[in-house]
Amino acid sequence: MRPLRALTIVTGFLLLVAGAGAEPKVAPGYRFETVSVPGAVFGGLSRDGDALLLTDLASGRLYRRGPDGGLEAFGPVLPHGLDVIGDPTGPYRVVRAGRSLIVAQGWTPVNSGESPLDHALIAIDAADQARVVSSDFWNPFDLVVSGESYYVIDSAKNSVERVSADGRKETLLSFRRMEAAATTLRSLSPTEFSKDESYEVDAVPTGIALRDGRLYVTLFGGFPFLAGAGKVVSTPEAGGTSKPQLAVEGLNAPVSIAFDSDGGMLVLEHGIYDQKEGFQKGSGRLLKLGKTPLPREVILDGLTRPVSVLAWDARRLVISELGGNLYFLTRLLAR
Amino acid sequence: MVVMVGFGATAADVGPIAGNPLIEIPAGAFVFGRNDGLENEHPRQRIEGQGFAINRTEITNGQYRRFVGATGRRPAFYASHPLLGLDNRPVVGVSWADANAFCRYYGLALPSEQQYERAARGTAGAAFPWGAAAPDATKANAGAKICCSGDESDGYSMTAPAESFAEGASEEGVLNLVGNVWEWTSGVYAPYGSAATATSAGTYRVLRGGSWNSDPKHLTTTYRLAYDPEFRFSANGGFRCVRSAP
Repeated sequence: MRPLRALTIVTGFLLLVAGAGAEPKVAPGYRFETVSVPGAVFGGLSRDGDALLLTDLASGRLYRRGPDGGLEAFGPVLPHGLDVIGDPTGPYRVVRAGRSLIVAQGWTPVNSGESPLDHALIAIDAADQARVVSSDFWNPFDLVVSGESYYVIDSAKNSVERVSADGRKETLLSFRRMEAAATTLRSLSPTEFSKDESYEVDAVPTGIALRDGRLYVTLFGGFPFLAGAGKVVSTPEAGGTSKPQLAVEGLNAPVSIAFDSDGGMLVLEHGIYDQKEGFQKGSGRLLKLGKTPLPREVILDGLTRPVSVLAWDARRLVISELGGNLYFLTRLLAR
Repeated sequence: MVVMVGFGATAADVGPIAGNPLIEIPAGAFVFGRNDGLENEHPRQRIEGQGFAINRTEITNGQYRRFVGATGRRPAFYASHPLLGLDNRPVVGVSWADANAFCRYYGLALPSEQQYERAARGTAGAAFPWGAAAPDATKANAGAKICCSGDESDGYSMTAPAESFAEGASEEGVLNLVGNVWEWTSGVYAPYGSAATATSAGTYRVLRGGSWNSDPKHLTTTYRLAYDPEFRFSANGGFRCVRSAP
């Protein structure tokens, strides 16, 4: 087993902010609406009562979208910009936790001074004041709240961290590198990738969701972002020493996960990576997997650099794209 | 116009690329290949080489930006990167065709593998441009001992300014022939002595010299890194140009 080597690309899973793609294609039985905000770089989504909460990495702002559809910024302007590898960094996701909102704030923007708010879990109170819960992360990308615990994805340490409201923290899971087939790699370089050997790519955790006492985590294969290398694994919320269970495999760069009211797993695929052109426009998809993972239903296809999926209620889903798009899907009732 | 620069008695021509003179490499016999390395580096042979002139440094982002401005060619992939895209750093994120087009625009060419080795190993087949001593933090911008992370002990977590590491210069005064960024050559990957051409099977092009994240195995003057020439996301692959004798 050998790690990837020689030529390297310096990209996280976000890579560069994409331009607009073609209009996505929605599965029959859904109504589809788009909201676009030019210049925005949308991050994670969550629900707070009747409001949609979302983040904008371009401005470092948190937004609330009420029933009237207007976007209202709130809270402090958080550090934002490009990180050392050229990806957008800033507030990745904001989630309600009791009387506070908890923000997963990414690592330090390059060319910016170090801020106490960098690479941190931040609590925003009702007066919009920020308090650092813990900054002992490298790049906290997503989180889920369960009672008094926050389960945080660290997409640089490649771990899941359990954090209490007072900042105590323990590592619940650390992900080992994943094995990758040599076939695709060998087409890049015959001197670096032998057909007789296997290789490892980073297992980068991206999204997290909680269902029936288990945490489900999407694993986004690292460079060269091989199609089908992504997975979903699960582990008991209570932790333990057992290995995480494989729930789904064969995914294309899964970046976010949610469960709908039927217990169906919703997985958002970031896209298919072309070794010459990067993530292909329109190659992102929203998949629905039943309790038995197969078959997979493609609910939304043709997405360009999607990053977050939210099951709003029994009928409605929301998806965000880095390119400043929000997609609202409503399942139509059978007549 | 020929000017003298501060590297022994080597002649340097200011050349067509502002700020990146061409260093004369005289004609004569030199050692190419090795017998104690990887199979694709065999055999060690002594061959007669024509004189040529090679850029003193790897092509920088500033130099590549001027080319993009003049020709409308696509920018380097990391042109906006906060570190990799700095003007004085070697350009990275260019395909073989991008690199070749740059050199052609200035009436130059990518170096052949033989030209690279002559520039990097001198005439006697030295292990490194500076001689036999192993690389250290003063001579080359290299990676960790275990593949494939950058190593800040040499002062740079990624690319270093193209003018840096003067202590690692070759006898003729060419900089960073080992380390900093892999450099595209004109060479089509094939065993030495075969008649491979760019239209033959494979068509991989060869990069040489190792880079800021190379381990010692890759950080040599003879390692042949064959890669898809269209790949342009490399954050550690750049180039320099040569002018061959007429």
